[in-house]
Amino acid sequence: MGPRYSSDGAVQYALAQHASKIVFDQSNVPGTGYIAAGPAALAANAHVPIVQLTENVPITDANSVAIKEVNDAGPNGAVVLNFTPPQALVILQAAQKLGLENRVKLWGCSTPCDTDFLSQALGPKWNNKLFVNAEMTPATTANTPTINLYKAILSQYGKSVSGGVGSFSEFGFAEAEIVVHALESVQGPYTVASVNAAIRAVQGYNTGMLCQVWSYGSYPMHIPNNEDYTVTPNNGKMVVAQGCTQISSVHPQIAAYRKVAGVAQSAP
Amino acid sequence: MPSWTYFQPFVVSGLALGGVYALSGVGLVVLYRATGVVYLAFGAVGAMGALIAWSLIKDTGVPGWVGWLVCVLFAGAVTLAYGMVFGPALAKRDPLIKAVATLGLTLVLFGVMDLLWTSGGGQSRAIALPTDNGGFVVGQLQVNWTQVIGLGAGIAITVVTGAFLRYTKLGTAMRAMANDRDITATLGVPVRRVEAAAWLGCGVLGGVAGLLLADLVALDAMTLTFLVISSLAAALIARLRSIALTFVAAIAIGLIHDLLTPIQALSNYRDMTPFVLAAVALLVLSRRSVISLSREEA
Repeated sequence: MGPRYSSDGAVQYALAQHASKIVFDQSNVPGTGYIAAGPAALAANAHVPIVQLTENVPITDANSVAIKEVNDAGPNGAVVLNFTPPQALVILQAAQKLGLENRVKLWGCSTPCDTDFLSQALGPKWNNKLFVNAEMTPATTANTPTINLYKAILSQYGKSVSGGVGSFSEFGFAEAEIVVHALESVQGPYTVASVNAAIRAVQGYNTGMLCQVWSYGSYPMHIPNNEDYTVTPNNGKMVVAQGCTQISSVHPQIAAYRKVAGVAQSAP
Repeated sequence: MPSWTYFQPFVVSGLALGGVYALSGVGLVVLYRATGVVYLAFGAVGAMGALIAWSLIKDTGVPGWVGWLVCVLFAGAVTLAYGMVFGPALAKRDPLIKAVATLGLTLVLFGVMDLLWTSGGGQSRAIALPTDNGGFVVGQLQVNWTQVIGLGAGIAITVVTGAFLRYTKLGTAMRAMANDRDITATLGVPVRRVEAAAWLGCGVLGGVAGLLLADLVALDAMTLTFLVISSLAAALIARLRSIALTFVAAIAIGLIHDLLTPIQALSNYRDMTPFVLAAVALLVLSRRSVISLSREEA
C-alpha cells in the first residue's frame, strides 16, 4: 500500500478515537509532500487541525523531537509517526524517558512500526498506547495455515532477516505467493508476455494474509490492498486493536481506485 | 514564534546533550595537548563499546553494570592500543596526517559494527540506564537523572581535568608535552608513559560518552560515530587549548541545537549548529593571529 496510505490508516485511527489535533512527523526525504497530502486530506475532512513535521534522519536528538511533537499535539492530540522502526523507536523511547508517553491522547505509526522487534524493545509502558497501521494480518496472534507456513519459512530460512516477524517480512511472503499463483496459471513457456499476462489476470486471490482478496487487473492505478488492521504492542507482541477497516475514500486516490475497481471482497 | 514556556523543555535536553559533548570535547583537547592528535575515532570507540554492552546485557544476561564497565574498558583499551602502536610512528608527522590516521581506525570500527550489528532491515536497539526511570519535575519540566548525569559529568570532567592538568605531576607533564615533546623528553619526562595515560584517559571518556549518548540519543553505530563532530566543534572553538572554553562551547552547541527545534523554519537546519558555530568562532578568533597548521617534519 505504501507510506501515504499507511499513514492515512494511522491518522484515520487517531481521528476515530476523537483526537482533537494531529501531529504527523516523518523523515525529511524526497516525497514527504506526497505522503503528507493523505493525512492532510483526512484531517481537513474531519475538521481537525494537523501539524506536519519532518526530521532529518538518522535522528540525533530524539529528546527534542519527542518534546516538540508532544507540545504541538497537546493533551488531547495524537502524534502519528512515519519512520523506519529504528527511528520511530528512538523517538518513542525518548518520550518514555521524559515521561511524555501519557501527555497525548495516543501515539500512532504507519506500517513499518508493525514489527516484533519494536514491540519487544518498547516494553509494557506502551501497551495500548501506540497504534500501528498494519497492512498485513498480524502474524503473532493469527493461527491460519498461511500464517503458520510464513512463520515456519521465516524460522527456517530467515534467521538473517533482521526485520523479524511483522508486516514487511509478510509483504515478501505474500508477493511470492501471488507470483507463484500467477506462474502456475501460465500454459506453455514462460515469456515476458505470458508472465505479465498471468500477473495481470490475478483476480480475487486470497493470500491468507490480507483483509481482502487481491486483484491486479488492468486499471490505470493499483491500490488493491486498501483495508487494514490497527495493532498495538502488548507485552512484546503486536495484537489487534482494530480489525479490518477500509482506508477512507476521503483520500482522492483511494476514491478514484474504488471507482474503477470497486471494493474488493473481504478475505474468508 | 513559540513562547518561552514552550522552549523550556528544550533547555533541559540541550544542557544534557551539551554536557556530554563537553565530556567528549575535554577528552579530545587533553589528548591533543599531550600527543598532537585530533582523535576522530572518539565516537566510534564509544559506539562500539555501547553496542558490545548492549549485546552482553541482552544475549548473555549479565548485569547492566558489567556491560557498562566492559564498554568503558573496551573504549579505553582500543584507544590505548592505537596510541601505543601508531602514536610513536606518527609522532613527528603533520597533525593533519595524525588526524586522518585516526579516521582509518574510525572506518575499521564502523565496518566491524555494521557487520556485527547491522542497521539494515529495521533492526531496533536501545540501551537503558537505571537513571532513566527516576527524576523530578521543575515547574512543568520533567527532568530525568540521566540528563542530570549528562550535564553533571560534563561539569565534573571539566573541573577535575583542569585541576589534574594544573596540580598533578602527570598533568604538568602533559602540558609540557603540548608545548614541545622533544624538549620534554630531554628533561627526563617519560613521554611514552604520559602519552599512554592521555590515550587511556581519552578512551575511557569515549566509553562513558558512548554509553550516555546511546541512552540520550540513540544506540546506532552511525549516529554515535559522527556525534564526535559536535564535540570536535567545541574543541575547535576552544582552539584545542582551553578546557573551560571547550565546556562553554559544548554547552552552547547543545543548547542552540535543541532550542532551534521548535522553530519550524529553522528546525531542519539545526544539525548545522556545530559547523556554523565552529566556522564563525574560527573566523573571528583568527582575525588577528596566524594559526600554525603544521609542524616541521624530521
